[in-house]
Amino acid sequence: MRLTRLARGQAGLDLGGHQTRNNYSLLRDFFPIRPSVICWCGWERIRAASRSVARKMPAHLENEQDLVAAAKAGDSDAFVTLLNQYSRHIYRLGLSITGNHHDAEDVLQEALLKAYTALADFRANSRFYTWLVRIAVNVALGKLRKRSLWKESSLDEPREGEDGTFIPLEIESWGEDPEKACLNSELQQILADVIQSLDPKSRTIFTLRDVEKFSIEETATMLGLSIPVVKTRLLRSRLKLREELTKYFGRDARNAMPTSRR
Amino acid sequence: MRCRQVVDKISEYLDGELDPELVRELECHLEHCEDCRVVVDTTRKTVEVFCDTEPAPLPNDVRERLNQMFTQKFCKEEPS
Repeated sequence: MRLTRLARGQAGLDLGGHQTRNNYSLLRDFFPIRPSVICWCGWERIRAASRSVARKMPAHLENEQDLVAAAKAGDSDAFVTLLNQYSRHIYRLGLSITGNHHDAEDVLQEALLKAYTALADFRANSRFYTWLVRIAVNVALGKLRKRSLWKESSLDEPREGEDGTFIPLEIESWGEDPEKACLNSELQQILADVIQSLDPKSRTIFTLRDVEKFSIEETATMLGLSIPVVKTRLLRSRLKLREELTKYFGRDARNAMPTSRR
Repeated sequence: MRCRQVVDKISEYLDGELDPELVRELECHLEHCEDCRVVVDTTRKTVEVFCDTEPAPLPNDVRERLNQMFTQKFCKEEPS
């Protein structure tokens, strides 16, 4: 029954479903920014909003624990249901870390196969998704190491001061929120593109922390890095991505937008 | 607090992990520094847009190959 449904595709692998100067005005001596693009950004809104960014992990399946127990007992339908919930997250994770679709597919297949094989070792004191991501990260890092991309990642970034501080250059507020400025599919593509502006180690850290929403500590543990290294890379990654996204969403950036927004 | 220190502390500020005294200093700086307000606001939006955007569905061919892989796997394990 299970196999028949799988073969017909009914059971689902739906699966679809910078030396820093003391202020920016001094920086403009070196990197001129037109006054017209410097806009007030809504201080009242900053004050009104909570200071920290809200983070939601992928939704739990209501009966996740039961599904995991059933899958451990050999119910492949239950395992497929779990995969349907998380496959696209794992594929995006693989794509962010490795930077190409071929490796991302390998990461997806290898990670899910390893998870299926090692399901008996899974302990219910952690989330199934966390466990799955750990497996996928190890597979993805293996691919980076094969290509010698993990150790060669450098902390160096352009426009750093002598003390290693990243200097923001784009001082331009955004117009509409990105979610309103373009179609969801276009936004997904923009985010996938800009994240590749980071070196492999930085984009792996950023992906785990800000895309997959793990804590700094969990991210450091998964990657075998110290917390200060994770924090430093995360800060630079966020600032770098802010600049990349300003090219799309800054008030003066209409020409960079996909056709639907022009 | 100066602009460079604001930049250094943006992550901790947005993650809610900054010492309350430093939060007060940072926000006091933001009240008077337009450039830093822009940088903090757009960095917040950057983190939020990555946090909030759902992943795209799997490409059809990727989904199909994954389907085939597990179908074969389950076939092999099915008792004859």
